[in-house]
Parts: sequence; C-alpha cells; structure tokens
Amino acid sequence: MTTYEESFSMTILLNGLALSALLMLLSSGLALMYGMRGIMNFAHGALYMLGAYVAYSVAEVSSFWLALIVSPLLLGMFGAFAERFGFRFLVGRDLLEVGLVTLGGSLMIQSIVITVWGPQDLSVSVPKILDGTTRVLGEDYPSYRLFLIVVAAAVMFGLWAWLSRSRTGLFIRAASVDRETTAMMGVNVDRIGTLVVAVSMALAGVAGTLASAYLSVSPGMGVQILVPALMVIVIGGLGSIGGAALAALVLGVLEAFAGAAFSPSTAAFFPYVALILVLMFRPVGLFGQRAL
Amino acid sequence: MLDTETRIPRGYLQGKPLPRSKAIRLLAGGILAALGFLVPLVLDKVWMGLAVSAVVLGLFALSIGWLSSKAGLLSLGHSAFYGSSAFFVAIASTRWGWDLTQAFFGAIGFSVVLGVLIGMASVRVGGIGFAMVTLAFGQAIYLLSVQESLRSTTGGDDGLSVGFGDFLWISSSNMNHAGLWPVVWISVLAVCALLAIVNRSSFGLLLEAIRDNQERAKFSGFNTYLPRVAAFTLSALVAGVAGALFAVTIGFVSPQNLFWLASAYAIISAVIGGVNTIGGPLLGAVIYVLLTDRFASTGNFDLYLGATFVVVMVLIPAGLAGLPAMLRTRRGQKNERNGRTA
Repeated sequence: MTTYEESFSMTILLNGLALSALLMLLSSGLALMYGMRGIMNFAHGALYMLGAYVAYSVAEVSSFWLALIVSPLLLGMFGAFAERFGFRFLVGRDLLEVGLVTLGGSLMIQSIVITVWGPQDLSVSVPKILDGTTRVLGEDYPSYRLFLIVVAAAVMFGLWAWLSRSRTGLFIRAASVDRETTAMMGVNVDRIGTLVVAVSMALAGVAGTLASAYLSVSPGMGVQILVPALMVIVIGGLGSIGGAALAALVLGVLEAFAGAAFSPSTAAFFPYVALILVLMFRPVGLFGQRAL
Repeated sequence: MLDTETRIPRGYLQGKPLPRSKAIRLLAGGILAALGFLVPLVLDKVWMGLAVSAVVLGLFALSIGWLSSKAGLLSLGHSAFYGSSAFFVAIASTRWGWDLTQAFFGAIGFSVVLGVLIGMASVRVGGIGFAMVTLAFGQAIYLLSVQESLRSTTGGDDGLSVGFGDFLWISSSNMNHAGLWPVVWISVLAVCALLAIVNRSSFGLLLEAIRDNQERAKFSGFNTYLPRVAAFTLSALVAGVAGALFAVTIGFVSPQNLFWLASAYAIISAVIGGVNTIGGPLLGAVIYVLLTDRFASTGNFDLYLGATFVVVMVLIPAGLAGLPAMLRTRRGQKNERNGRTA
C-alpha cells in the first residue's frame, strides 16, 4: 500500500515537472525579454505555437532531432529580424504600448499559421528511442516526458551559465540596468538587444518543439499557455529569470498535485489565485527588485 | 496612448453664456442622438445585426479605453464584467425564472458589485502589474464558467441560451435587432453622457491628477486609492451594460465571452479608434465590425486586424479619433520651427 502511494505520487511529481519544464522555458524567455529589453511580449504564446508547427513540418520530412535544432534556430532568426526592423524603433515608447503591438503581432502569427498548416490539430510522433517507458523509483514513466524535463533543465542551466558567467551575459545584465552607461562603456547595446530578443524567441522554439510531441499541435495552444506563463513571471518578480524559473517549478508541481487531489479543472485556478495572493502581500513578486 | 486631451472651457457650467462653437457642437450632438433612433429605418436586417454588434463591442471597448485614458489603468480582465454580466442575464432568465428586464438590470448591478471587489484588489498595483492582476481575475472567472461541477448552472463549454420573453416595453414578438435598437441606442447615449459628465467633473480632474502624478496628488491631500476604485467600478458598469446588451440582443452566451481574448479584441478596437475621446472606442468598434464582415469569410481576419492594429499603434498612438489633433500639433510644431506662429 505504502509503496503504491509513493510511486503514485512519484508519477504526479513527474507530470508536474513536465508542465513546469514547459512553463519554465516559456516564462524564462518572457522574463529575459522583459528584464533585459523592456518588452512585455504578448506574442510569446503565438511564437511557441509557431515553433511547434515548424517542428511538425521538419519532423515530417526529416526527424524530430533535426526539428529540435531547426525550430529554435528559425525562431531565433525571426526574433533577431523582429528586433532589428521592429522593436528597435519602439525604444522609449510606453511599456504597455509596445505590449499591445506584440498582441497585434500575435494575432498575425496565429492567422498565418492557420493559413499555412490549417486549423485542425496535428500530432508529432515521439522519436523511436524515447517511445517506451523508463522505470523511475519503481514506477514506469513515459521516457519522452523524462527527456522533456531533462532538456528543459539543461537549457535553463545553460541560460543561467551564459547570463552569469560569460562576457556577453555581463553586457546583457549591464544593459538591463543602465542602457546609456553601458553604451558609453563601449558596449554595442543595439546588438545586445537583438541577441536578447533572438534568444528569448529561440527559447519559445525549444518549448514549442518539446511540446509538439507531448501535447497535440493546435492553433489554440499559444493563447492557452500564454496567460499561465505571464502569471509565472509576475509571481516570480518581473524581469527576474531565476524567480520565473522557480515560480514555474513550484506552480507546475503544485498544480499537478492539486489536480490529483481535486480535479484538473479545479487545479487550473492555481496560477491565478497564486498571483493575486502574491501581489497582495508582495507587490514586486517573490524575487522582484523593482516595483511593477 | 494616454496623452491628456485638451480641456474644453468650463465656463458654461457656471452659468456663463455658451461660446458659439460650443452651442453648435451641442446642437449637432443632439441632432445626431435623435437621428440615431432612425437607424432601423435605413438599414436592412444584415446591417442592423452589424450595427448592434458594433455598439455592444463599442461600449465594451469604451469601458476599457476610458479607464486607460482617465486613470492610466489598462485592464486585460474586463471580459470578467462583460462576460459575467451576459452570463447573469442568461442564468437569471433561464434558471431563476427572472424576466428579461429584471435580469438586464440585475446583471448591471452584478457587474458593479464585482467591479468594486476586483477594483479594491487590483488598483493597488499600477501599470503592468494592474494589467496582470486583472488578467488573473478575468481568467479565474472564465475558468469558473467552464467548471464541470457548475455545468448545470453555466452550461459549461456549450454556453447557455438566454430566456425568451418581453423586455422593457418591447414585446417578445418584436425581439429582433431593429425592435431592440431603441434600448441599444438609449444605452449608448446614457453611457456617453455619463462619461462626458464625469470627465468634466472635479472627480474627472482628480483622476487625471492621480494618473499624471500619484505622489503629488497624495501630497496635495487627496486620497488616491478610492477615486481609482470608483473609476474602475464605473468602467465595470459600462462593460456590464455592454455584456447585458450582448445577451439580450444575441440571445446566447458562451465562455468565449469571458476568455481574455474577448478583452484583447475590445482593447484593439479601442486603440484603433483612439482611447482619449468617448467617440474613439465606438469608432474603433465600427471599424472592427466592418473588418469582420469583410474578412471573416476569408479566414484571414486576424491577420488584417492585427496588421491594422500594429500600424495604428506604431504610427498614430492616439488612434484614428486622435489623428486630426495629432496633425494639428505636428503642423504647429513645424510652423514653430520655421519661426511662424500656428
């Protein structure tokens, strides 16, 4: 009896971690763009969806593994393009105005995706090697979900290492604190800005590709996950990538356990209730430095 | 987007004679208001449907646009008031045996109560935080409507039909868009008049002062919290009127009316039209509805809408209604640069 309950909660924990992994990839991209470039990107959900569709097409003609490289790369290039020829001209505009521009962009992306791939749900098959189950502490668990969790963890570690240990990461952090002074120190802040947006959108591509073989690929997948991801970055403290990652981890796991204890539709309230409670008692979010 | 509008001289409120341009404008407004009642005589059935949709969306857009312009608070969760007011009409008229008139006014009252509660919690945080908190409240209420356990009340994902019956002075046999138009038009006039009076009142000035500099307003001895809750509630009332009108004129409500995208479309309409005037969001809604009619069948509606929105947002942040003023200012600046007076 005891072992059954333990392994059961192990499955819930892993399901929660899989949700956390997707939320983490998405919210870190959102937090990166907000914290380092001052853009609240409402198109992030649509980009995640675009990433999943690109992964679908690449997986159709080639393999899932290639999709895992191509989709983030294409999304990253799109991000660089969007920054160079779009967002750069909106520097200094009101935060919410730029946010609304991305909302319009999100509608356009969604419409284009439906035109190209059609409105029906598509599915991407899990690569052969990950198709089975793996035993985790005495419980069979789908290998692909473990893979998803591991990849997300690796990407998050890479992002952290890049931002906190590399020279470019130092420039990015400097530019996020004071753009003018950083520019005076001889850093090309325009190029830094382009890089930040590219990486943020590439992260949406990674999340979309990972989700494509886990959930079904549908035009509505973006608007569904965008709001929880936005809640996560506010709870974590706007602009704090570590805060966003931690909030995603805690929320995903708690939501999975709440879903098992009550029902998944009741558990869906979790991010909203958490956000309202956090902002009541700590308006800057859990790890936020500046006021909203 | 949030520029201050130029203030109209307030002399006539203190009994001074009306300036001539002012009198002409009031007269034009009065004639326009009266002519509005004749709309069903001019438009056919299809166009009547579009006109009703435009007005309902216009009021919803106005509720969000007015709040963002006067209080500097952009709400992403106004679908909470719009949708739950529509749901209130449907639930009260089918489940509780209320007649449509009671359900209509009950729904508006309900959005006011909801507005006070959500307003008290959300205006504490400003800017992007406010947008996020209202989004959270809105989505929580959306989730409530699709809960399996509440399906017997809300109809869940299937939505809910509104009960059928007499409404105000309109008999149930005359319940079509043309027959309902007087109610719709009176609601628009009432909301516009209410907001215009508030804008010109000392309360409106206080809201602007708080929006422009909260610290200074506080320092001058004003309470900066309660006026914003009041503004939020007023805006919730307007969204509630829009939602109740939607339920009565369309006759069917669905969780989509509560989903955050409903707010997003209203914001888009408001911004395209321009949020700094009362007419702007209404104009934006008309454009939105015309675009829907023209492009919905092509399946690319969102593409054209998104593109229009982005172009307006980038080039004319004050919206189409703000275009003349923007051009005037620009010409003035050019003249100034050239050493002439405007």
